[in-house]
Amino acid sequence: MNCLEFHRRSLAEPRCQESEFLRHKRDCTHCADFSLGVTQFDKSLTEALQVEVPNNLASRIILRQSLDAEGAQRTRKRRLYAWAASVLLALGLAGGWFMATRLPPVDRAVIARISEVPGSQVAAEQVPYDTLVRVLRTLGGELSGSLGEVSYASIYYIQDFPCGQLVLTGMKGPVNVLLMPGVYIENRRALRSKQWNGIIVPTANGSMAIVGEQGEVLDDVEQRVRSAVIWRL
Amino acid sequence: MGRKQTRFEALVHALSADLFRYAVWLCRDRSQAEDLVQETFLRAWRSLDTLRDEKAAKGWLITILRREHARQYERHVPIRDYEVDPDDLPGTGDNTSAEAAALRGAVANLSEDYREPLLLQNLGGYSCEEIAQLLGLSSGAVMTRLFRARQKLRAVLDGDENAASRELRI
Repeated sequence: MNCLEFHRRSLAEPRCQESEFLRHKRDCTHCADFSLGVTQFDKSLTEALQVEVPNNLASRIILRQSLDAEGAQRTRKRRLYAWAASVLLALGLAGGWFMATRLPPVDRAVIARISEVPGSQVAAEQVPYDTLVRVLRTLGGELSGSLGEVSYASIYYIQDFPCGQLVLTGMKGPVNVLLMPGVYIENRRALRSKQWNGIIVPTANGSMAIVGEQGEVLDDVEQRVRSAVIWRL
Repeated sequence: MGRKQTRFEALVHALSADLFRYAVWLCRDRSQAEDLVQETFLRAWRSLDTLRDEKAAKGWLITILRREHARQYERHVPIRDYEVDPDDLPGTGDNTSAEAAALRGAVANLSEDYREPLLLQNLGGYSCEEIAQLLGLSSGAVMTRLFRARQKLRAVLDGDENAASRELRI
């Protein structure tokens, strides 16, 4: 390897470990200096290329995937049901055998949101009335009564669909209310989480999750929201 | 949680940050980069069963990301290649020195042919042979591109852009 080849190789692969390259570097002082300069330049380059990674990037990816997987599972379920119905009809049997054991995506979405925005749990200021009205309108709702003290109101997105987060005051402390238009569930049920005390309930245009401290009377909050918000279909 | 889900989540936690850094420099836009990374992992999830060797996961994901970027780029072809305004450069890490800013500007304005191998080497830690495989090029072509990219960057930093242009015609 001559000096010209060494310079070319240094610029192409500053950390080259090939024996011929290393031998030339050892034997030629000028090229060793050149290589040192390139290596230092490359270190600066690598540092300059570093980019701040958004917080919760991984959890956002996993959330989006779980919602996508749920959609696919629903399609597969529908096909499976159609197939099962025809078989059962033919055999004259009845029954069902499908049990979901996985944590449902809606519960995941709720837990992810509440974990992601913990600041809303301790917000102290009252949200202006106009802001509250605007947030609800974005979700297809109209404020027709009082929600009591509202210390946080914002819009967030699940797969480009707007959802809303409100923090109301409950008997035991702040209560998170997630309004999820277009996210339909069949029945009212408890949130499947060891960490949070919550319920998910169907609404006229989707569903709503209510999550509060242990011992919070969530039904009261639910009634407060139901009587204060009218949903446009 | 199923085995596939566990495997997927492990990949996301291990590689999403690396992929994001690469995507930011590929798109030169943070929000577009995040969309691209999300779409990449979604596609990876759908074909996760085809990934046999966990060690090959990063290269596999980069290939998906590059294809997805090309697909999106085809949909939004710019009228002409543009010079990036330094104020529009990707959000940076800790290094806020003038030299780092000049380097970022110079990298952002490299053509994609030169920028991509450089990113794969400096951010991805890949060798020339591995980069050649990922980009579908010969090893020699990758070395030439890396050599020219660094020459160009050094010349820009030395304030001799004309020299860079001359050298790139080698």
